[in-house]
Amino acid sequence: MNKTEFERRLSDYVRGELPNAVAREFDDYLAAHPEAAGDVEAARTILEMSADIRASEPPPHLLAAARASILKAIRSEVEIPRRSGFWLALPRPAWMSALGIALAALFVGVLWRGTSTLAWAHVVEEVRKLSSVRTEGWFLGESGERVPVKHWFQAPHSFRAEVDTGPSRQVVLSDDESVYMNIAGALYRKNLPWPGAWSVDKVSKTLVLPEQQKLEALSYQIDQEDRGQTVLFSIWRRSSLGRKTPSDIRFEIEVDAQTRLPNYSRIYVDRGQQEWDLVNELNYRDYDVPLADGIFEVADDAVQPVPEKLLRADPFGRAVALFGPWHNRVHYMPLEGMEIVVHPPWVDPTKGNHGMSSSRTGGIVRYEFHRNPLTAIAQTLGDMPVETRDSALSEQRYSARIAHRITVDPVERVKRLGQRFSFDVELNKRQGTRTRWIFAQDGTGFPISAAQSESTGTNGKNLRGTGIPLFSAIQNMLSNAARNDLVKGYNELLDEVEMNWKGASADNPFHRRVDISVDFSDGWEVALEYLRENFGVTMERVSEPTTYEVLVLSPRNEAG
Amino acid sequence: MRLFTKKPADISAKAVDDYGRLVLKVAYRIVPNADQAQEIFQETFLRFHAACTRGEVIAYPKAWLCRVATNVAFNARRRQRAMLGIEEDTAVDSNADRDVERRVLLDRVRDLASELPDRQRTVFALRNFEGCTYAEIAAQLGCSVGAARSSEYKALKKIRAWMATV
Repeated sequence: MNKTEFERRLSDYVRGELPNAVAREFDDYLAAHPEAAGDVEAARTILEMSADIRASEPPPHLLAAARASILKAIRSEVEIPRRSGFWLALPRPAWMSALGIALAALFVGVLWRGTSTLAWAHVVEEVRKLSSVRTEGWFLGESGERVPVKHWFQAPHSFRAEVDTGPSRQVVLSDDESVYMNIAGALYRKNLPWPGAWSVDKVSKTLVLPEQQKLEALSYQIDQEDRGQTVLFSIWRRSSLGRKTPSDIRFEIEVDAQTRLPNYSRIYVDRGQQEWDLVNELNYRDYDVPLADGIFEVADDAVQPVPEKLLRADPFGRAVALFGPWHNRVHYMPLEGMEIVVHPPWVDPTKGNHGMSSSRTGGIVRYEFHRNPLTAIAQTLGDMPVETRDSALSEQRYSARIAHRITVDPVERVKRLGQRFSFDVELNKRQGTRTRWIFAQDGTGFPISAAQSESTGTNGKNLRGTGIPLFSAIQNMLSNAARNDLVKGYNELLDEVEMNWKGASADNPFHRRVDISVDFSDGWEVALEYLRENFGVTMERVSEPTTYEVLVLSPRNEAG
Repeated sequence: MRLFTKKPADISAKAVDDYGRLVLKVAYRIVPNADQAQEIFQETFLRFHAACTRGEVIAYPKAWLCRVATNVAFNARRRQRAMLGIEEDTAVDSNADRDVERRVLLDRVRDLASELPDRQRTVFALRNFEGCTYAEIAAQLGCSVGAARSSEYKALKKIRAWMATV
């Protein structure tokens, strides 16, 4: 094999599509030309990402809309206006704003890919016609108990859920603008940051948009089993860690073979060893039954301010998640407060992309670590510096999905990680220097953002956004500046960032939401100048010796 | 042969029915935004319809539509990129949405592909985004299988070099 042949066969080799004889020739060429290994590795990385792109599919409703408008234009020989988004002005079918599409979108959002699409299309057609749905079921609670849940959906945007019974019972209502919760007899409201944010309609539309934010919606496999009177659809969700990592969640939806409407839906999750646990079941009780308007109504004067402790626990997030049980793992609490699912590496875990993402919903923090060293995972979970002398712990990378309740102690989280990966954890103290980064505001006024919602963007050396609490903007700028070496001496794990305000809490300028647009790529001083000029904020640093805690990891001596 | 005896509107409508899903997929994989993908879809079929109206005979409509959709989508992506500016150093906040890093990487691949010469990017997209075989690509582009293979290698090489610089 010569160089030209090598180049022509490279991508086939990476894909494993070469005949054996040619593959051997290729291997021989690689052995003789070690410098070509870089080409292979680079091709592998690019093709892996391309495979993810290939897995993306347009939203199911899009083809119908696009097809209808182009056919209309072709038939009428009328030129289609080319301005962006013109189709938004086209008349929408009635079901677009109805519950029908909400549920249809949900199901299609899950099921539109794969060989069962056509069969499911009939189900979708029937669901689209619905004006109301009532369901009853349960989801798995924190201690493994089954928590009862009831749902009422009514077109176009009304939703009610009742969770649990007795003193623990919670009632959740939502409309286009707000979500309400009735907890222990008190009714609270959370205004949604943008119209329709949590209405059933909006949530389902979000689910059917496998846009950039919804990569996890891209990878589903559908199986269909005809059972005479019923048809069972099984949907396997692939991990967002990579298409080849094992599925960790599986949906079942049984539909009536004649009416094509769901009888029940179930969700199973993998606890890490392909041991599927049933964690959620919803039985569809009624379709098209008139629902009393009263069950969706809320009297404004009954609403109370949300207590701080409730906000911390984010009950709204958890409540909203209840009517989106298809969303990955927000419908149940991790057993015993914390769970760790480790994915076996399907390629060399030391190479390729690595990263971490986290989310927090309903008092649960969830992480996805993609090819991270154990020390990095431990540092994230423990929220303090980590030390080890063992190279395996600091170099071996893992892909793992970890969830824990916010109430689980950070050291305990790392100990639980150690149980899973066979290392011991010791909490030690070290001497060092801690710096207090003290921000103060001189009392001058500054404009408050008119934005209804918070929006931020950064490339690490700038910050642009609207509706950002001032303290949050400062912390964001400082963290990013430190990561990009624009400010010296900031240790994110040790240092303290203080917003110095001695006035009434209600007047705290650092809590005001502001609009920000600053580029500090020339240095942290630029950021400071921007803060001073626009918000009257100044900063001083005070360094002092300190004793801080570290987690020391060491391999567990199993023999001992 | 019936295809050639139909009215342009009938030919175009049949193409929409037969290949609409394919064209939308091609568009969406390059520009993963529903509105923009629909616009590319419209643009592609309008060009097809205009060609039919002019009396052009498109013997292989699938290949024609794939090629045009790919080009229209990549051009749209380049235009959009030019308008937004290029942020090569996107930092991921510790509390960033899940998968944001992966998303950035995938977008980077799309952006880099959009910068390739026409043939290379078309081959790259058809092979890797659409899963076409080299034989299919060669037939679509009117080139040899070997040329298609070479184009893909050159595309990979350039993308690799660009990725190494950012």
